[in-house]
Amino acid sequence: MSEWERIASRLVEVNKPTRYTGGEYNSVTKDWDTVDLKVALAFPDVYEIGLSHLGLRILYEMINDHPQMLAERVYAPWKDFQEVLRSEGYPLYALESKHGLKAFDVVGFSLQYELSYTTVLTMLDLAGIPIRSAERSETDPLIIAGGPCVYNPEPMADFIDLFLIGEAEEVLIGLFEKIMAYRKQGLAKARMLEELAKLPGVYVPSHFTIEYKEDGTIAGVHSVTGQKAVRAVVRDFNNAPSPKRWIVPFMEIVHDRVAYEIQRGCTKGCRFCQAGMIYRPVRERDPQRIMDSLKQLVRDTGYEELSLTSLSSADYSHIQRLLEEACGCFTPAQVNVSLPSLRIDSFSVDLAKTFQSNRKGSLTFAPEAGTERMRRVINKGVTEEDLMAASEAAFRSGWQKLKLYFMLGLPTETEEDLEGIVRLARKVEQLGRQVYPKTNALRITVSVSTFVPKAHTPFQWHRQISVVETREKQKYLQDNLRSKVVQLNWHDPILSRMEGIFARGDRRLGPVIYKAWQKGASFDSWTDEFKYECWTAAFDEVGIDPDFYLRERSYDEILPWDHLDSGVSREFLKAENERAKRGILTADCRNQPCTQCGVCFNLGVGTRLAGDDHG
Amino acid sequence: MAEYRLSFTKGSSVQFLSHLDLAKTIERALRRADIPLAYSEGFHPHPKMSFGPALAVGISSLEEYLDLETVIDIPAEDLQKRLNRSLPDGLQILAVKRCLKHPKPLNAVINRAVYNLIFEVDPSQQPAIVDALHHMMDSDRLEVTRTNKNGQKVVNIRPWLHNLKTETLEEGELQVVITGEIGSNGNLRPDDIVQLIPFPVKVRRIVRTEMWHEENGIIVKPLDLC
Ligand code: SF4
Repeated sequence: MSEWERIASRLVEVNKPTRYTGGEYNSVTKDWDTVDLKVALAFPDVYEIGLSHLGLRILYEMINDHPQMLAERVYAPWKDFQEVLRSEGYPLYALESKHGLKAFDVVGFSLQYELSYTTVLTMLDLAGIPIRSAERSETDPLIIAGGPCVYNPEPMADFIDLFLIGEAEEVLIGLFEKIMAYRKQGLAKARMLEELAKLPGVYVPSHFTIEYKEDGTIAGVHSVTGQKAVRAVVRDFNNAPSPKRWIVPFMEIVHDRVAYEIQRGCTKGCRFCQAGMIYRPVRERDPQRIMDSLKQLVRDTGYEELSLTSLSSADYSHIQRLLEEACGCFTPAQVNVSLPSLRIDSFSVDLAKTFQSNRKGSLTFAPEAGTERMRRVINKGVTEEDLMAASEAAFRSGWQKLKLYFMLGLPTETEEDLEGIVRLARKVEQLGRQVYPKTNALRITVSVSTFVPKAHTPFQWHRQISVVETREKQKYLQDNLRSKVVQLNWHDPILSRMEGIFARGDRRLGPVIYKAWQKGASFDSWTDEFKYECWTAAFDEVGIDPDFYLRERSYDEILPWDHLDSGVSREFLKAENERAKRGILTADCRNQPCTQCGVCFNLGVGTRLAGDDHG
Repeated sequence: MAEYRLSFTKGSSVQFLSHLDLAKTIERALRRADIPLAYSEGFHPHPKMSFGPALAVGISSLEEYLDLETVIDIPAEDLQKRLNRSLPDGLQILAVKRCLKHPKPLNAVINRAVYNLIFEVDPSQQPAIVDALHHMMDSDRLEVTRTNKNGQKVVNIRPWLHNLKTETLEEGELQVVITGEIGSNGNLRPDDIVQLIPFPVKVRRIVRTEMWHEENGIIVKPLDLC
């Protein structure tokens, strides 16, 4: 029995064994011995979450399309299978060839949320790879990471050799070709990292030293090599690669559908939103290209659902035409089409009507804040009339379930803003009762989350509210909101607290992550797995006050991520924060004049709407 | 509209697919192969596709069965070729028969299944294990404990065990072939046999190798019943 067969014979013991077998349709197993560079693409969460993520699929195909490279996938094994691996002495392996991660040249982690950090450590450990960069030898794989979290990668600086900041598809192959060449030359890892740091998007944390003041804030950041780290950006998104051999899983995954990115970037300019800052500018794909790709994807996957994704799909220039065409093409073949995000207007409800013939599900709107004033502060230019019109359109079109998203603890929030959430929900409820006076099926779900200030956003200087404050606000809503129709959901405030600490943390948090992990923290984003006591003990032992990272910062303070250039200028973020205080809206540069965020000039890129430059 | 009966393998690389996973996988493969399945009417149309007796997760099979209905008439060989091109590794269509009339459901006709079990055993216990296995055919009652959501219950599986053969493959490696009842009259599970062996054994592999309809000693294969 081969080593792997021994593991396979024990898969009957674990939950969801197809997480660990590979062999899915359209997965690619290249010849191990004939390539020069082997890359494991790692997602620090379970299979069904990791495979739902679009970004890694793009990279997987790009790398495998290169004749000298191969890419394989690896996800975090659940605890039951971790036990099997440890008891059999088999390392964490990639699904395609079943090689342990140590056999790869590069292991690339996708960091999508801060609470997956300890799971990265779990995966390295299961693979038998030393956890801290400093402990790794020349023969260990290069450990790299990308994803939205790396816009402030400092808390993970101890563990990752190289961060790729921004849109990896623009620079990844070039980076790997360099690595192949340097390895052929026999360049040592340290020398190689020096060379790689010259490439756009690359940030090597060990090349930077940080000095601190007595009060704990940063005194200065020094680049040892003199290199800066600037975000990578896809300049020609219309022609940028998109997955074609879309992997079709055997088991049901979280986003169990084909996802096709119709545009990248959103410039609506919500001041709390990191995605709205770090994926600028707006770049649309041409409708014809989209339709061709969708047809090919449906043909080559056999999927029964496809989704036209982006940060704000309803804003795509030709969305109506595109949706109608897609539905006309795929609905007769029993393939459903969907849009992941709706705007708060009746236009969006009309769109939803195009693709959702079944109105049993719910429609989601995100007013984010309860009063007009607060929505101006966050630059969400949605009025109460907009919400009422959209809700009415939804009710009249047959939907009986609406979801409303709000945030708690936004800058300048007062009691009035909380009351506003209650008032809005009640108004929507009343409207629903008017349209459906008799039904019991009417449901308004109010979902609230704690506002977590993120790096590279206009609100990066703000304080995050405490767990106690969040609970008080939640209690207020609970006491005033619940009815037969209105249901209240909230996000665990302790998880938001942890997220906030790492979102704006610095590299002194590395030892805390390490300690908490040693004490058993892993899969922290899973409420049932989250062990707060591991974290409080780790902070204590390292001697760090976590609240330091949640406090308000002044404009003079050097922020832990200030030496990373997202393309959006600090001046713009500051100006936006000032406009927020005065409740002034900033227009969307998609179809209005440039508001000088700096991205286009700094990165040499431009807004591109479909139809602008055909041919 | 056309109805077909298919036999196929479920190899070791896909042996962990649940019944539902398998149905989804084949449905998607049919779509890739551009073979339009017929769907039921109604609010939640579902494909007209029905499988033979379910296979426990972790067991591979050399012979599974599936009935399906398509919107258009496709020659059987054509359907087989196209579907095989679009299936993932491990799933392979062995034969396709175009049904002349609506066949009796697979689950109503199939009542025998053959399993091939490979055990790793302690060589010193091997003769005793072989004896114990052979003894099963001679006993009147064979009681096993089965657990389901309502708790545990003891069942006599002897009436469902129709045949059992053993073969020593090499030292410490034992092959057992069992023919058992499957379907509405009872179910012999490979696990039952493992449970009845009075020594520790390690199951290396279980394969379902064949299924058929048997009545009064006469054997008919499902493909000959449509
Ligand atoms: S530089 Fe101007 S046009 Fe470009 S994304 Fe920023 S605001 Fe929009």
